[in-house]
Amino acid sequence: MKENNDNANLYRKKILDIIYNAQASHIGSSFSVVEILSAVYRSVDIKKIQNLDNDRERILLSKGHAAAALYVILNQFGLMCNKDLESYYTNGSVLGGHVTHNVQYIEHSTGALGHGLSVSTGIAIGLKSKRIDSRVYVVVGDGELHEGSNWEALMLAAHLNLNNICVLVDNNKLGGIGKIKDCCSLKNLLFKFEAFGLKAYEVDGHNEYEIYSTINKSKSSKKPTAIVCNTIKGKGVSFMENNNIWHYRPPSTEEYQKALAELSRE
Amino acid sequence: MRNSFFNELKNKMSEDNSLFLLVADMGLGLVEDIQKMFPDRFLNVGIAEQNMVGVASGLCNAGFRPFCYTISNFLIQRAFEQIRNDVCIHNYPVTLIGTSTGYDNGLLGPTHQVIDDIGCIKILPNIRIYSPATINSIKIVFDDLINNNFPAYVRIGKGSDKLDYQEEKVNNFIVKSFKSDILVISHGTMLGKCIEASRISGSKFSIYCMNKIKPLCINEINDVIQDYSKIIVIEDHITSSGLFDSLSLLLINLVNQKKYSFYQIGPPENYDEEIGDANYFSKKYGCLPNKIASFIKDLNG
Repeated sequence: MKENNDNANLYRKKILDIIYNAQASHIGSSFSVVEILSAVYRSVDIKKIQNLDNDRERILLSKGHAAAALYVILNQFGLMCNKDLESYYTNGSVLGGHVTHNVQYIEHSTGALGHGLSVSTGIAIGLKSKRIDSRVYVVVGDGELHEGSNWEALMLAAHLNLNNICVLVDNNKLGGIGKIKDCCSLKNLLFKFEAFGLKAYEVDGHNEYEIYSTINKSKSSKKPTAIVCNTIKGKGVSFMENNNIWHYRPPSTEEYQKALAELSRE
Repeated sequence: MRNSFFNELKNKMSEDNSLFLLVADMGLGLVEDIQKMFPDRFLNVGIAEQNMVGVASGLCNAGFRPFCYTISNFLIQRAFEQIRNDVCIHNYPVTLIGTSTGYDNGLLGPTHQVIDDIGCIKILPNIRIYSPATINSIKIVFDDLINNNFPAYVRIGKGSDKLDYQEEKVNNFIVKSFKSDILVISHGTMLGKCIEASRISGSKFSIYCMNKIKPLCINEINDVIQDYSKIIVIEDHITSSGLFDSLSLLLINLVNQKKYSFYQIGPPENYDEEIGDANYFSKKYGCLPNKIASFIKDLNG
């Protein structure tokens, strides 16, 4: 696997489609996490997930509001059919605006922030206890790290040397109403993870290959891994990048066409 | 009560290797045997109740059946969102074990008055609530919860360890008087006070013990109350959200059109400014046996 941005923009176009069609929110968060999710799914044995094997790798999207991105990735990796994907954010569907375990192959329902890390820690403990050699990947948002429960989980994961946990931070630096550094700064996130006893890496969160290689490298770690992926909220569409309004607003027809044109370039 | 619960858990953990005990830095003198016997299925997560419940949910994902233990006031309210989202939404068979209920720790101040826990938990779909009254009932409660693959909260008060009667079902009559139209319903620690009231009281009344207070079975309640017209719920929980409140709602739906007078003896809607032990608050809120007996005497006219 080498170049990646073609795929990423293909995924973004699908995300744009389903969000526009459903007039849903959180397009900015979904765009920032695309390469991270793609790299994670590329790192695991999809067959084991399809078979729901006990030793499948577990993937949790703790920032559950980026559901549109996860659904598109599941679709791309053969874990969701087109018909289901098209039902996103419509009455009677199970594909809501936040991920739920009612969707096949999604391990855990999230949407309230700060839950995924504890659950992942529990899974990692359970797998170790059963001597199952699989990993748990959990994708968290940087804003989400304000929730104290994350740090409870990280402390425990490091204390127990849960080297089967890999935390990926979608570090898009924007919270709900502004920049995270202006609201409650995370300061040096890498240092924080290291101080808690994890092996921490920092990567370009829009370089799928770099994320993928770092995940690979971390497989031999003796400690839990944290990969801080520096991303841009709204990545790929100029007028959406770094603009918080796209945490909430669905695109109008005109905006949709403009965004589609930008994502189709090259 | 706690010892009995943990002994029972130890026995079950020997039989079933999916059982896993998590504690939030509580259980000195209670959990050491389990820790030694099952090092791969015991974990003290530290003083981190939210994390404990999240971890329990993850353990379910990996095929375990976890028990989470700490004192109730730290477990229920602190980890409420984890109980709702990570346990109940997923319908995971996590058992929450909360101790020091009611005014067991009343001397420690209002943060430790556990008089609103049932209300907090019972609003959640899927979860079962048990409030065992005696050592005997712990075994029955355990079997009921193990046989049902649901989330559960077991409310363990100091209880009445030495009550001398043999229970057959999870909920049952302790005293059945055919000469009175008064029925006392109670659970947990308060059952002992009711039995003592019955012993010292001149007036006869029946006592029904509910070790399981959620879900309530409408047929069961209908059968239980049909011979009575005055029902008194005695519990160490505030009126608005305990068993009294659950039964009130159930009574509305009874097919039986009989009219009932319905009373509660227990704490008011208040976090008490005063500190005191369980006996002090029982006296203050009319839950001592002699107070219960005189309340019933007045009802009899």
